[in-house]
Amino acid sequence: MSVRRRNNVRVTGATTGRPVVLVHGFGCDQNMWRLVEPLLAEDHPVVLFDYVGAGRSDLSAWQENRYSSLDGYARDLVEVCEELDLRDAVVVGHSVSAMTGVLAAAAAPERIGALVMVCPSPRYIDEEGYRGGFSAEDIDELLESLESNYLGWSAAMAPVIMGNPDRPELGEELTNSFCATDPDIARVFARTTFLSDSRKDLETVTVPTLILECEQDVIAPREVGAYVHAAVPGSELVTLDAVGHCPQLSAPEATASAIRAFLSSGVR
Amino acid sequence: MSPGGADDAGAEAPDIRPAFSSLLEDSAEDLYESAPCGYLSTLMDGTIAKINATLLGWLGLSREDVVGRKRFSDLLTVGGRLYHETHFAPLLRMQGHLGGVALEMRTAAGPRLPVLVTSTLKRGADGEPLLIRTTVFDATDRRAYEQELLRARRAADEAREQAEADRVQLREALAVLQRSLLPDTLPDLPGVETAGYYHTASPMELGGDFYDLFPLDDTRTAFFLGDVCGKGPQAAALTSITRYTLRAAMIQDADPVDDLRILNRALLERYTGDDPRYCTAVAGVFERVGDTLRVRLASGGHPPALVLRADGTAEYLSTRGGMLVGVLPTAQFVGVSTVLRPGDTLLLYTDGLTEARVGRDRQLYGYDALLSFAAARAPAGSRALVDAVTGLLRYFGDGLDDDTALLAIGVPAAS
Amino acid sequence: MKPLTIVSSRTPAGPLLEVAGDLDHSNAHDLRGAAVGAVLPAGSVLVVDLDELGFCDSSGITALIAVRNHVVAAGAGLVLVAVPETLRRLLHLTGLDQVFELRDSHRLQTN
Repeated sequence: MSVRRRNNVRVTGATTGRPVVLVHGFGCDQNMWRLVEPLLAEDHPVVLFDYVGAGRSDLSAWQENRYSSLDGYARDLVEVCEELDLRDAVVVGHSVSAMTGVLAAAAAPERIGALVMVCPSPRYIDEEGYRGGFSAEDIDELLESLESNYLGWSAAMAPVIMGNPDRPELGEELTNSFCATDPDIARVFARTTFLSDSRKDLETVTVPTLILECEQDVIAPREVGAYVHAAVPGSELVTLDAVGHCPQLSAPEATASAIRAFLSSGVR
Repeated sequence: MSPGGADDAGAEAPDIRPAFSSLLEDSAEDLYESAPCGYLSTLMDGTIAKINATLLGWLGLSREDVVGRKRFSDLLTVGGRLYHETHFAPLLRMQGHLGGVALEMRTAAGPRLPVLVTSTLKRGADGEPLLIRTTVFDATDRRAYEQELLRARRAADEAREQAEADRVQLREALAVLQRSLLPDTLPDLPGVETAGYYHTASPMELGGDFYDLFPLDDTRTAFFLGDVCGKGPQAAALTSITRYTLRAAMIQDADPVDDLRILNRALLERYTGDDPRYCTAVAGVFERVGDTLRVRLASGGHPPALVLRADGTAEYLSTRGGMLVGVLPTAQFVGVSTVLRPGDTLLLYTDGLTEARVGRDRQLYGYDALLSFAAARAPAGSRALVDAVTGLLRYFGDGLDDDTALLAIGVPAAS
Repeated sequence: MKPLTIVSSRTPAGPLLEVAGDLDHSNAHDLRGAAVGAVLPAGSVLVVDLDELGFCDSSGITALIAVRNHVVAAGAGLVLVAVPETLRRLLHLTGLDQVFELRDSHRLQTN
């Protein structure tokens, strides 16, 4: 199984220029970038992929061990960069993948030359002296919420509920499919995402880094943005006039122009 | 509501028509406010612009608390909010519509309200999203049912996993027990090539075939192969008695006919007449004399041994008349002798091989076919012969439904 | 799988069991039970007619041996008639053709 097929890798955009890798976070798949992708494609080769377990990746390649820590997801990212032999790529990671990008940049410094962290959070759970926005009970609630949706979601989810995700694709019926994964896989990803603590990793970043946060984001509040900005040496923080956790969907132009501005500012 | 509908409804009863249409006109606002489901409209940033009385009632909130002050996600539990941000909102943005999503809302009184939410994006003339319309259904009963379903599924999953684990454990135990009934390896004997093979028909059932081969002294070696009646643990117990009785007998007395008689007595003594337990067996002793092996063997109701000669022929060593071991106190066992010269090989087998079903008609494979098979391969060394027959067993596929044991003893061809 | 049926009756020489259907480990004890249930004075002969017997494996052999042991203990005799070819071959191979008396038809036997 090649990495391209395993991770459903797609390369679009310019044939020359600095490659940009768009990395989806917890919840959905590479489709999250569909509004931003054309805005970057003019000047950059754009790489999209799905983590193993998400979207149209090869579910048979999923192993609980590997994907129970962010390192497993970072390995997917590094392996995609290796497969395409990328050099000096810009990794744009959404949400938890902002941290995946940090881990990948440390593991493959020759391949990753800059980071864009979209609504990052190195730690979701509050503790003494740190406010991540959530308590451990909140995260349990999310896991419950995930579970009830796998059971209660519309008919398109039925094959997943019935434990038969390999049935043939049925076009329209799968409208929600790109946000739908096997419930066991989703549970592991959710746990890994929301229970991880990557604060220490922020200091290790040596590449130019742009942090994008939203005006109002219940998942990564502005205090967290400020924390990341302070922790990543030499980072740049841009606050988008957007609400929610997915500015690439709610404010795609602003998101793309912030990235373009960062890349054209002579970041090396 | 189309006016046509009102016309149709009133056509047959003109006297109630005015009341009916006034009911319809009157109900638009009231229907929104006191519909049996919650209604809610939000700006694109989630701020609630409009909400109906039903939903406010469910949540225990006043309109002033909510409109222009709260976002839709503020009404949700924290877990629901995370779910909303990571799944619901992105999907709605991309699809413009999202139906039947299970969420939980927080009520002022404390308890959570399980709901099913459907949202539609309303766009302006230029296609820009303007607002989100949402309906909210009380899903308390449904959620309880789903949870019951989920609980049942988990219990079923656990039971299945446990059953699978038990199966694996049983299979391992059976494999260990089965191996204990066969020699680990055949001893290395100068000037003799030996090979054994055991085919297990079902990993979940102990088979009843057995073989053994062990030196008696510097020049003589004892061997036997057989098949006990039945399958499973009782057959394994019988195999164990048979194997160790024969071993002990052969160490004491190197006459194979006598050894089968001893086994016969032991089985008759152990098992009663209304629960007869018996086996078929061929037991033998070979003695190295120069570069040949002098073989004496005896059979009790067992298929005849096969010899492949160095000259390319094959023959059965008839032991016709030898009876099942363990059935009759006066049972007769028939002995036969042969000499194996360099290039000759003796093959013992159980009837799984000859009773296999082949071809579309599922014909018995039989003794003639086995003899032709052997003749076509003669001369063959023990290992090569056992490998060839093993290949044949594989070729039988599901036509082979019994355990099968093979034991070959040969004198390597002079090089 | 054809179900096993055993019909008991009497002939001048002794009881007759007519066995039809498939004989395997699941029903082999029925055959022995039928033999035990037959009235067998010393010197009489139990006739087992196997003309309609279908499948028969080693459990069938076990049942026949148990029947024989019971008959012999009662001081009676046993005759198997119309033994199908596969069973005949199995009896031959295991030397049991020396133990069981085999005949073609029980009608001849009664003469």
